[in-house]
Amino acid sequence: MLSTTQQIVNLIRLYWALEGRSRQLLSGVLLYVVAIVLVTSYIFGSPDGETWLALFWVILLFASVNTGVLSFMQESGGRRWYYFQLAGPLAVYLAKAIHLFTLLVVVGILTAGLMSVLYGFPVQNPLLLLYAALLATSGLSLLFAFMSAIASQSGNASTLTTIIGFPLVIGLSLLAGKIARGSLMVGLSAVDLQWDIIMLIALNMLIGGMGILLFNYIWRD
Amino acid sequence: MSVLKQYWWKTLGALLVLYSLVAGLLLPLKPGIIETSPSIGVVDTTMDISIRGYNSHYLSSGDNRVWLKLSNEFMILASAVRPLSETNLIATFQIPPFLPVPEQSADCSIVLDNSIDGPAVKPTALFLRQKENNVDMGFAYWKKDQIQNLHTSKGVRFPFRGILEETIRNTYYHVPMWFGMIFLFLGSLVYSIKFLRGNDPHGAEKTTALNMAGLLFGILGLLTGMIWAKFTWNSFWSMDVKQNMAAIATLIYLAYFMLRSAIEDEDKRDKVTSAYNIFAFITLIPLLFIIPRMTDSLHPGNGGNPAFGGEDLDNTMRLVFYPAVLGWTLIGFWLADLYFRTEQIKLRVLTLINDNQ
Repeated sequence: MLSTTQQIVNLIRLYWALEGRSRQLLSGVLLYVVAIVLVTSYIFGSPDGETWLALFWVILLFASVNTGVLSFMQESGGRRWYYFQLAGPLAVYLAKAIHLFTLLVVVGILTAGLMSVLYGFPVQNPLLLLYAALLATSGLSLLFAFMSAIASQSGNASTLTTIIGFPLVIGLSLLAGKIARGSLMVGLSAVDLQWDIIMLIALNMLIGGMGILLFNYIWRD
Repeated sequence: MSVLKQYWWKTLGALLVLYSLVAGLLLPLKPGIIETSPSIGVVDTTMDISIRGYNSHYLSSGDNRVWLKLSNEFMILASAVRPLSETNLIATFQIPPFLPVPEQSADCSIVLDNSIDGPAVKPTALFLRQKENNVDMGFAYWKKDQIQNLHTSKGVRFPFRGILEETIRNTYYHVPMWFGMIFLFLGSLVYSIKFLRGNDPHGAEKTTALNMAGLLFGILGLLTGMIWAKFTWNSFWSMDVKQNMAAIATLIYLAYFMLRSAIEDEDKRDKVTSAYNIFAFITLIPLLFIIPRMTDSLHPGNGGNPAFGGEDLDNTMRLVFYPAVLGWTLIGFWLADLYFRTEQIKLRVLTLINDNQ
């Protein structure tokens, strides 16, 4: 057996090779982002700062659910056995979360770019938004890598991921939303919101730690 | 007798809940002042202030004394007190021409004392205004009287608090629901860890039973809280942070039962739901214990509101409150135990039927 780091690197390389072959995940998510931004632009016209942020979060949240569910739906039956022989549960979980995180960063950049073209960019303090978005996406990917693995154990994965995942996301999105709202104000820096940022990092570590500890039990049949 | 000894904790739980119901609902409140009028006055006048009391004995005690109190140092005694009935009284004050403060106005509270009821206070009862200020003259007028020789109220009674009034009794039923819920969820956490580590083959079923009782307590806590909020905060739901977090907590455990019903295979279901249960409890900690402390809330202890252990929970209330918490928690575990055992019996009956066919 290879070391865990090596396994993670190999798995991510495998995910991208598969992605390059079928392009199912990435194209699905990109289509979703473009469609939803266009549709909301018809509804809202040019929204104010708060609405802009709310739209951004909702789009990111649903993108993370969709990506998480899709990534596990691909591995039904035989392929799961293949991974089972290839790598340990820790490597599979972390590789999944990192893969999800990269996809979400792409989605986030694309969403923010499209929204600023169509709506304008009301954010005064982009650095704070970047912190909030990066911390929130890392938490979301750690959480949904776990939740979609749970939901994939039952038949109806996409509905179940939403039902069991969304109540757990609320703490994360409340904290990230507070930091992101700070980005609308002029002259506010990360130091003013340092406790919220520390709390969010701690929450990420908590979710990641629980995922690492518990993935072993839900992954093996 | 041996049955009672074996299940002592169930007996204890039932007795404590019975005690908290009887004592919590039957003990009367201390006398208090519900309202006073008028609420605004000017200096250098004679004011008749009518006072409406609660559980009071103004007529039969006959030695009522009323003070207008500006601070611990400054107060004036009513020149005449005329009780109209047991709960209505008119106090006449000669308001001096100056206030002992450099501001144009001051808030006064009204203190009432008699030999049967003991002292009662109505905070910020009268708003007094003055045109010009003379602090030295004000000192002389307001320093003459003092609050002394207060009587003590008789009997075992719960405190009278403005706005709360009789609803203060809900402390014994609303708050123990939350304590019980947390203890039950903690119990379910312990059993899911035991199950996943292979120490308890029935751990997953016990987790479900404890979550069932905990969820019931959570919903009852929400409902008792909403009724209380209607009377004190004027609406069933006021988007208070603790209300929202409690609703999310119930959602999380409802999701647990959704997940349990979604997976067919028993072994897989037990393993996956136990893992979810641990995950859910850990993510619940910031929701219930950290975020409410970072935000203002209408609940006691947050956003400048008085906390537990102040006047909201005096020693008489403690005598009912702590037994109520223990009693309801024990009843919760009893409920979970009953649910677990009926489920086991259902399973046994099913296998027996299958064997006979």
